[in-house]
Amino acid sequence: MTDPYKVLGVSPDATDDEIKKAYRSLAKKYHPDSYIDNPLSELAAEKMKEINEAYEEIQKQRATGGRGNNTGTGNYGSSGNTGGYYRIRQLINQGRYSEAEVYLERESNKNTAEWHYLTGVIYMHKGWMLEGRNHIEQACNMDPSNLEYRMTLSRMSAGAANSPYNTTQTTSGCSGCDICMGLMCMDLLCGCMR
Amino acid sequence: MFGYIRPVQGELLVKENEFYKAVYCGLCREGGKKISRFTRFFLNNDFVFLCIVRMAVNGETVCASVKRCPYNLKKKCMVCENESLIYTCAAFGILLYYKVLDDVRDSKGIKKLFWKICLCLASRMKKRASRLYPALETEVKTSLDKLYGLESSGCSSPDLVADCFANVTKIVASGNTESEKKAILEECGYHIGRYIYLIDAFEDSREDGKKGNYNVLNRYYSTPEKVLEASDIIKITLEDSIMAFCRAYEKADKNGYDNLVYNTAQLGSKAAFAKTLDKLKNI
Repeated sequence: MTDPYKVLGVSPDATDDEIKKAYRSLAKKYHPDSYIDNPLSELAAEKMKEINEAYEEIQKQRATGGRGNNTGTGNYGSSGNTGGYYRIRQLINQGRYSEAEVYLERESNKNTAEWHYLTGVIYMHKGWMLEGRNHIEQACNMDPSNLEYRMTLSRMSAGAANSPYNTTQTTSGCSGCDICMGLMCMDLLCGCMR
Repeated sequence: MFGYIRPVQGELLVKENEFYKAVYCGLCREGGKKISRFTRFFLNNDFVFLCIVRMAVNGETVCASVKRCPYNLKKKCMVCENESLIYTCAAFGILLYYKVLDDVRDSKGIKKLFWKICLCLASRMKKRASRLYPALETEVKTSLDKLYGLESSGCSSPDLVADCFANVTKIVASGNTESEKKAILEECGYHIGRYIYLIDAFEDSREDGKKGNYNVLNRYYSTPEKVLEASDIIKITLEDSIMAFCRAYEKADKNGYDNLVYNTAQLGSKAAFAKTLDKLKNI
């Protein structure tokens, strides 16, 4: 099924009010009453059906706490996202860190990789880097295959993109010097073979 | 405030270096005129950096002129004049007063008498500063009270204790600014404050351990020797704060201050940590 959020043209992190607003504006646009005696009436009816289904799907997902796929980058709403953590991720994305912290404290199972990860993210945003890093590293140790956790950890050490003093170096590719050095070595080896 | 963050001059353009000196001299002169002549004796690089970040994020233009140095009449120096300088001096005056007040509480005998004399001078500074910026004093006092409360209760969380001090620098960096820029300055000020508090605790760990004074890192790692062993972890957490500062500063509009700010934050903080670590190893 198509992503219901895409159908409504909203972000997966949008609030309930934003979703309702988007639904109403699309429903008004494609309502069959606006297409009476219009050759596009069939297309509009189909679109209207799709919008209704998407809205219902989102309502259902939000009521149960589960959700569909989300591939957003930089947001805290992706992989391994289940149950009660969905609401917490949503609060983090909206910048409501203290509320998210309260929800995390209320969680009964505090020994999951995702719990440590989200706690680490909240600490990081508060500027509590020692605790934040400890929690995110713990999450990485508990779930080493999770790319999201590892990316957040590396993001902590990344400075401003336009700073001339960044020391992070790329590990792939080779410079002009490397090419020259390679050619010189090859030449030397060819000389030895003669 | 302890004077840890300073630029690495070899990587600066001549005009940037001149500007840094002009802000330093500006703070000295403005502080002397508007707050108290005694602020000059305690002025340090951390405050100069806070003032530069404030000017950079606000995109302020600076009026500079050549004036005679009050301490060396033969010397003429470039001096900046700006509202940010007066504000930073006022914040410095207030902080100095509460620092002296804390020393009066903690010391005994002749030292207590010495600090009491200093308190008379510092209270004049505070009065003049509060007259210029009435809201500033209340905000700073609330955060400092919380900090002293945590210190006296022997709190062992470096993040929690540093948070109180970071809130003070957050206020100093962001006070009297507009909402959009205020948010950036708050973030920048917070991370600088955290860095300053923790590197100071790291530097004083051994001395505080000997004297039996409170030190959050000694509490966290249990002994000064273990603090030194954990220097890599401390280095990483300090770098995390500096990187967070850079990411926050990046949100501000581009201006001519960028190289100076990044130089001081990234290179200066690294140099400060290396110097502190050397000092601790050689004690």
